[in-house]
Amino acid sequence: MNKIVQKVAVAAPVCAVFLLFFVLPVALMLSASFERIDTLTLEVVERFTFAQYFKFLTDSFYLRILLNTLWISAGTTLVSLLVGYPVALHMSRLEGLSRQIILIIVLSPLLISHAVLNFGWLIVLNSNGLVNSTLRSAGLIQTPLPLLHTALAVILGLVHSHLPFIVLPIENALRSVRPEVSRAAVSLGANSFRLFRYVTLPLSIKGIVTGSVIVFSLSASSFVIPVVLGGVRVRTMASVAFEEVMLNLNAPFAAAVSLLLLAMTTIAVAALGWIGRKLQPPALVQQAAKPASEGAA
Amino acid sequence: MTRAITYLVLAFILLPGVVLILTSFTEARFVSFPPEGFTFKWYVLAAQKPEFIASLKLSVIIASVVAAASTVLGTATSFLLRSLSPGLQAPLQALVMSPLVLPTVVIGISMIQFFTLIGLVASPVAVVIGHVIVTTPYVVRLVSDSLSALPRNLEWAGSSLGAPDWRVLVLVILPNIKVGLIGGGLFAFIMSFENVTLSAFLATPGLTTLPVLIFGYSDQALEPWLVAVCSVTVLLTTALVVLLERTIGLQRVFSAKG
Repeated sequence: MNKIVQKVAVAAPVCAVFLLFFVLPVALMLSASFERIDTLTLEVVERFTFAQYFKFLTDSFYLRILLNTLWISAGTTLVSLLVGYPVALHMSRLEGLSRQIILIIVLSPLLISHAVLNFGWLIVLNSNGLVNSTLRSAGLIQTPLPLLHTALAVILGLVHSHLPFIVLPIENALRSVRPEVSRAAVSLGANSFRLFRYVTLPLSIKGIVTGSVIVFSLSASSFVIPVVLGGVRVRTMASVAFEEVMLNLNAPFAAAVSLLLLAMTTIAVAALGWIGRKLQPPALVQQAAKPASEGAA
Repeated sequence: MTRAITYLVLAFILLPGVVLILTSFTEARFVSFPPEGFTFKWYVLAAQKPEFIASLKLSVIIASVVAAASTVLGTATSFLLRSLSPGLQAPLQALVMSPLVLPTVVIGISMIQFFTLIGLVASPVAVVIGHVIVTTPYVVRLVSDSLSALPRNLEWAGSSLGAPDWRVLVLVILPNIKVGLIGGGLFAFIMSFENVTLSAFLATPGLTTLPVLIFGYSDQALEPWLVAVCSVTVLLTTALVVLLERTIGLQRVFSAKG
């Protein structure tokens, strides 16, 4: 009896905090997205309407922003994969201090504020920044290239800050393949390309999917990086939602936009998961490739 | 081949931090690359800017309160998760971990609306609550990890020798999960200190944390004293990152499970 009282005494405040300050606000936001307010007086004029969703989905201006968000996040995911995979592969072969040092460097962008990293990229991409100065002193360009406020700058910033999320799961997947598997392939005559294409890559699909899902959803919902590196020219759904609630005080529209964003990422994540399952080698093969301690059923 | 690419990627990862540190010593009045000359004057100037000092103070206070609160809340949650039957464990786990799954914009917008509604807007309390919600899941992950590595026999030995529950907790359990507790608290501190996505929603004039201050300046001319501020935060975080890796191992914090 005493134990049950104890558990309830702990459970009550924990649940209360999360229900009151997390579940309730999200529920209120969901209901707010169905409201319509007078944009001047901010009074609610309609309680239940799909007006906010219609406004977004029927305006080509906003639809273009949706497409923009999609391709920026897809591009970020793809580039992160291409850049992160070799790092994961290299890390999975290392042990001890050298792996630890690489791990610290790979994880460091997560622990430095995005606001600070943005500042660094501004100095790199500015008209008198690192890239333009280097190109100019090499005589390759006369006038500075407009690198800032482009989709490319946004993707660069997003790849940089989300790389750890792709490297870690892939490295994890590669580490759980026993070394004998690659050795067997090589001794059977596979060259390094075929070893990668038919052995290493298929066995790391799980890590690739996990990483892609995280990078896609995080970069789709990031707004600090697009706002600074994309400026007014490159807008994403998250930055529109941010501006709507903070500058235009149109909370219902901001709520609807961010919920549409959530729906979009959920669909994309489901699609990625489906593709991943299609590409994955059969369960039996995966099981057999694991180290003896894990593989034995 | 993979080694060469890895080194290139590592250079890319380090680039913005290194560029910030290098340019913070420039003698030029406007930031440009390569930096000109060498001077510490921007650090001196930054230290004299009241807005910088105020936001640094606010950030440190908020991060400390958040670290303490989410360590207590997260540890309580971890104990609770361990003692519950699997049927109750799953929903509680889902509830506590969901802030990690939801996009930050969704959390940010829902919180600014909620705090406006209950009249707690423009208050540091709102920022603290918001940060606690997004940092607690990490603490739960780390402390649960430490707890699951602790054999139950130790507690049973303690109890069977006549120690009351609270003594078992203080003398047996807590010392053994010290690493998880310290790591969780430290990590919560860093996450709160560097947070800009959520703070940008909850901050108001007069309530600007350091990252929000920097974020607010990013669309203006780059001033060297701000670069000095950025470079200080880069160096500070680097020190904390090494400390974190030494105490708990960074990978455990970000591992996909949980």
